[in-house]
Amino acid sequence: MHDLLNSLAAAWQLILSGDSTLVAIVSLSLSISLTAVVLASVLGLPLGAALAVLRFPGQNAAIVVVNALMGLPPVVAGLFVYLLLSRSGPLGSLGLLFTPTAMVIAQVVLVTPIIAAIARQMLEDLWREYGELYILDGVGRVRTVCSLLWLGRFSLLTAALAGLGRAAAEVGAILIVGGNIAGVTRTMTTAIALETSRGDLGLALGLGIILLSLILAINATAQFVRNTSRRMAAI
Amino acid sequence: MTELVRSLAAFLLVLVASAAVAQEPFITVASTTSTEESGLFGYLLPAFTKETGIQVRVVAVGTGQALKIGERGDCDVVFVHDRTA
Repeated sequence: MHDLLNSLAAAWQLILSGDSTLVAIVSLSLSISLTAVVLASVLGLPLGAALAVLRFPGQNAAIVVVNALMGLPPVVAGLFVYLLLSRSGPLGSLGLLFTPTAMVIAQVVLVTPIIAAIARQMLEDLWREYGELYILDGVGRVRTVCSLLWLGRFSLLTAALAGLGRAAAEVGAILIVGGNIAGVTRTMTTAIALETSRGDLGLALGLGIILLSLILAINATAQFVRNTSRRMAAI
Repeated sequence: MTELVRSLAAFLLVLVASAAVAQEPFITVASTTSTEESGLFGYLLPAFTKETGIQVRVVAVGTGQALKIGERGDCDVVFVHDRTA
């Protein structure tokens, strides 16, 4: 109990001090995770749509693989991206290892399956419900998918939030590809891992409380947007 | 602390020839968490940067991983002290 109170105090002091290092760490965390979620949506939505609406051999296997990749351990994704971006790896000449870009790539690998899998499930349900109407109306496949995506936009927002949660909370992947370099690739989660290993549990939990509050704030905003647009749609 | 100072003598300094030309003036050093915790870099690096104008990015990991990073050409300098690894 004493430790928890100390952590709360540590978190509060950190916020009040407006420490420039803390601000840099928080903004790096948010920009990496948000960029990763946007890119993962760009990749994951068409992938989910293709799996839901198209019919091709090996489709079931593809769906199983995408669903399974939702459980990909971050440290494995990190190792995979590390081997790709390493100087000895296939993309080594880009020199991206130990940069924020490498961290975004690793998180895109983690988040894309989540968004693709949820989008596929949602589109498949909608397709079963409304698909015949679109076919009767002679609407093309691409326009049908766009229309279904719009119909299911609130579920997709939940998918994006799930992806953001995974991106913002994970440490295994970005630790390996980012290197936790102070001032360059140190994020909230890698800083928490570092402070824990140093034994500064109060500071670690304090950082954790700040991270949780930020994720809570993002989710509250999303909920607000959802409610507002639902109300607008009802009018 | 004395043990750390003693182990400093055992430091291996390995320069890894990096094929790519750095675009920004910085080098990457792979080292161990205990080396960073000892405060050695906090003392050395500002002096180095002041002298050369080159920033130093320290990746603090285990000795085995640091050597691997060097072996794969992912850093410019390796600073380790565990003889068994």
